[in-house]
Amino acid sequence: MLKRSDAVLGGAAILLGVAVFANTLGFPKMPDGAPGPALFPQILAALMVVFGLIILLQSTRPHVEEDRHYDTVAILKAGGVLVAIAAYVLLVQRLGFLITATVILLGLMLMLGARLRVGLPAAVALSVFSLVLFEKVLRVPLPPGILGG
Amino acid sequence: MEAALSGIEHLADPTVIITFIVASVLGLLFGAIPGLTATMAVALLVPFTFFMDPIPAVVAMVTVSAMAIFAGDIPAALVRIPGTPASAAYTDESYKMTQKGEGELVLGVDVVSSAIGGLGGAICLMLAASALAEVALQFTSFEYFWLAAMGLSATIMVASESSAKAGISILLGLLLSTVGLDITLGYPRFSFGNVELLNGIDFIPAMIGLFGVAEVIRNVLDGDIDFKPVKVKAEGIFRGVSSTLWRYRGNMLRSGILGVIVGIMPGAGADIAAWMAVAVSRQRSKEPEKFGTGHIEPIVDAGTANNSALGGAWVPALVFGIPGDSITAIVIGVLFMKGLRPGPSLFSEHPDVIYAVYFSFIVANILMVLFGYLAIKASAYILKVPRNILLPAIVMFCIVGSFAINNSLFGVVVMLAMGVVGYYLEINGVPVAPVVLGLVLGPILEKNFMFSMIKTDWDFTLFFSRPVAAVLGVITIAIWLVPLYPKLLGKRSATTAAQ
Repeated sequence: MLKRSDAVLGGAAILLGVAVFANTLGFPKMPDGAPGPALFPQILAALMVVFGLIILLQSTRPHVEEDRHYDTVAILKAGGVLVAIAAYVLLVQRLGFLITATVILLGLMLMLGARLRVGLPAAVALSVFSLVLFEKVLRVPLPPGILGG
Repeated sequence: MEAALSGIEHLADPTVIITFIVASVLGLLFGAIPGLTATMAVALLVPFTFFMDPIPAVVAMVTVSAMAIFAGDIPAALVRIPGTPASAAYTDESYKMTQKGEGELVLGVDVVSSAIGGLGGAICLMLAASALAEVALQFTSFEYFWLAAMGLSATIMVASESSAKAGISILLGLLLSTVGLDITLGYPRFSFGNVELLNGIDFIPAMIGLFGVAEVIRNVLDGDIDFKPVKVKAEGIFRGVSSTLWRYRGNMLRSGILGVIVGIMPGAGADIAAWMAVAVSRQRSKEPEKFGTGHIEPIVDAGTANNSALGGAWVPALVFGIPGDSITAIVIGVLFMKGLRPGPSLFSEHPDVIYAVYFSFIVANILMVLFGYLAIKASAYILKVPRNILLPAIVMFCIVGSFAINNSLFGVVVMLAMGVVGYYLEINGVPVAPVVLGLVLGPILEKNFMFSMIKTDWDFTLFFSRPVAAVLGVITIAIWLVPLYPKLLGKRSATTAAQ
């Protein structure tokens, strides 16, 4: 019986190794013809293929089927976390830190089951706290967006 | 001596005192709340250390990790969930004692044995690091190449589930470290025309993604955990602790030393130290039948070992720039960021930083008794912090922290990508910490390898020409051959079984 997740993992490692190796073929050599920038990544890529093969081979061994599948809701929520981070990247320049952070925090809190009357003050407080901490204390300029000039 | 005094002087600075207090609180919170770990606490701290002087930065990282590893014991005893992986080895034992009404004693033993283990680890660190630094001064690129190779190989060998999976994890980190301009010709590798990638993948956003985002995703997937903490009276926690610890003083010495040795080994940290201490404890105990029924002995052993491992991990980190665990991998990255190159020269050029590490270990572990007491007193509240508020807050700190390093949204993108990668690796049983090890050690390994190769005119045998290098090389190759040993032994046992 094949342990599918391990087979995929091993296959992915092999593919990554091959892709990296192929990419290094275009790297220049040292002036005296000795291997240069390509050598180290090539060794790593070759080892990656070897380890990938080992995992692929081990995945064909008999094993106890693991009972670890998450329910769809949990998977969607985890996806929501990733979407929230991506949304931050896309929105923060336009909306500014304060609005973006509050919206994202509140969205995540509600998604994870917080009540609005707890989530809203918490989201606002955390956004303001982060803004003060990073902008005033650490002097990291966060995007002001439509709120600031 | 002068440096020692200036080290103490630095610690009396108000900024440093505030750092001790804030870092203690932070470490205790991250340790006591299940799902948040010591490594995650240190990872989220890094963006802040970026804006600190080297000494408060070091103080913060030492204190956070020491407090978090202790505080992981609190939910283990009260709700049977380890606060950090380092407490997993004795969670059941602790909880059984709490159920028997001995919760106060468990927590008292936890805090005091952690502090003593931590102090012991600090003393070993001082003795070992200064002595080894003298030796390491003689090292050339050959020795450093072998040390880095040995460190990475050892990480693969101590991997609990699958060596091949730990191997992929390290290789991924090493490959990520090759992105950007190379050291021999300045050729842009794997940057695909992207200007941001020319500078390479910054290890801070990568690490926040691996340890922060990936953990949040895992928490979300695991869903809500219903905590019903057992109530304990914090006032009573120190009653009976000294007599218990005195009875097991031999255990503490043994486990303290074991913890330091495990800590020194690259790739093995506090969690493995705790598991090993429990195993040795059961083997050597006079009353092994009591193990698993709520017995204090393994708790003393593991509580000591996991905190002494923290000090041990700093030995190779400071002396060779080779991390002993995932926390010191982060520390090395931070020191580099501060323009401090970990290695023997750090001992002569910046002895004040070295002494700051030593002293902050001592101060943090003394503070632990007081702060630990307060944390136990507040534990009922800490465990009630709503996770649906806490996890979004951590996501936001991950975002802002990755942004703050270069004031660039690219950092957030790297963090997001590494969060997804980290999560994928995690659910497939691939340990994530070796990625960070590879990312930090990659440039060191490649530089020393290429320099040595060019120096010897591509004659690999010269890697064994210096005595120390030869010994290190032989050890490394012996580690590579480890997977073959069980095959040889297995064949023999199979034939004996057949007879």
